[in-house]
Amino acid sequence: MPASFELLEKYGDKMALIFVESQGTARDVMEGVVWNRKWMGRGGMWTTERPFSSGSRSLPSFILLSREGKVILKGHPLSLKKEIEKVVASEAAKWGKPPEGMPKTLRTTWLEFERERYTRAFVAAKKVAEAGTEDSSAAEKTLKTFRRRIEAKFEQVTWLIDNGYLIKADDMAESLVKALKGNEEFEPRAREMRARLGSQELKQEMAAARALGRIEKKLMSDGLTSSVADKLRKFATNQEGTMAAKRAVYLAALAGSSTK
Amino acid sequence: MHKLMIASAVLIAACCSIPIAQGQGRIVEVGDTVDYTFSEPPINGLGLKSLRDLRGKPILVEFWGTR
Repeated sequence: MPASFELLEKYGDKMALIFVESQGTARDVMEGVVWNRKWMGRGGMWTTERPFSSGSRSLPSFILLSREGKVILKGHPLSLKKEIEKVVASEAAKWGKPPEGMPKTLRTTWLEFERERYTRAFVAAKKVAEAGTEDSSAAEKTLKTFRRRIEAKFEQVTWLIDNGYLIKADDMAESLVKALKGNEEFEPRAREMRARLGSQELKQEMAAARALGRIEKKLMSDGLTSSVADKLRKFATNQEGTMAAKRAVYLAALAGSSTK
Repeated sequence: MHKLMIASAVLIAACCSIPIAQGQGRIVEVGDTVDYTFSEPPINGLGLKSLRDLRGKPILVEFWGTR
């Protein structure tokens, strides 16, 4: 696991890391372990759902997926450590490049999209699509992919708002407004989302989310200590009725069942 | 000598490995294209719904155990 964190530290947003708990442990118990081992602030994601299996009968094991979702390597992470690093480096180096098979005329388009300049990416792709050349169908496919990815981002912001992660939601909404400036199709929705986050309706939630964020930082550095659990309980009482308070109660309960 | 070293490494890995829970997840092979929609977003996934939403970057999926 530490080797995977090192990769994530090196490649940042150019790769993703998902840990799959595979011994049937409950999700909240797993989360307690993650906080206590001080892994939460290191950028990986954790799930107890096993999307697929490497076929290995023992742990740990891994599956490495390419940028296009193809299995490119699998096995034991320690015995294949160097191979994993090599393949991740090679895949991360392709960041911003179009998927395999895309024509040269769409290279800039994909790069603009990965750099979160969505409006520019749309304009460039539409130009190729409307040119009526042999690359037009690839450009249409590209536009479809861009639309799906942006819709996924909107859904993500909605999820973040609904679940009390308002600071992250606000960051993402701000980025979307910037990236979609001048895009008639999506900019109004991005602005509406940002406005909702700045509204009176969410003012108290936003302040509570900010305060909880400070306690969570302490959690990341100290783990589920009884002192942090006390802070969470106090916070939940003071901020009763907010989504952040609900989350604080959940985190305090985790601390109660697995205090260091 | 080389074969002996490889065999030792495999043996050590097997001895140090932890058994996994039965069931779940089809076995995938190198070359397969995979996708998965989560029933609940992963912890720290900030609402991630599907592996498809991570296209454009390599994904390292590590299977581990808490016990």
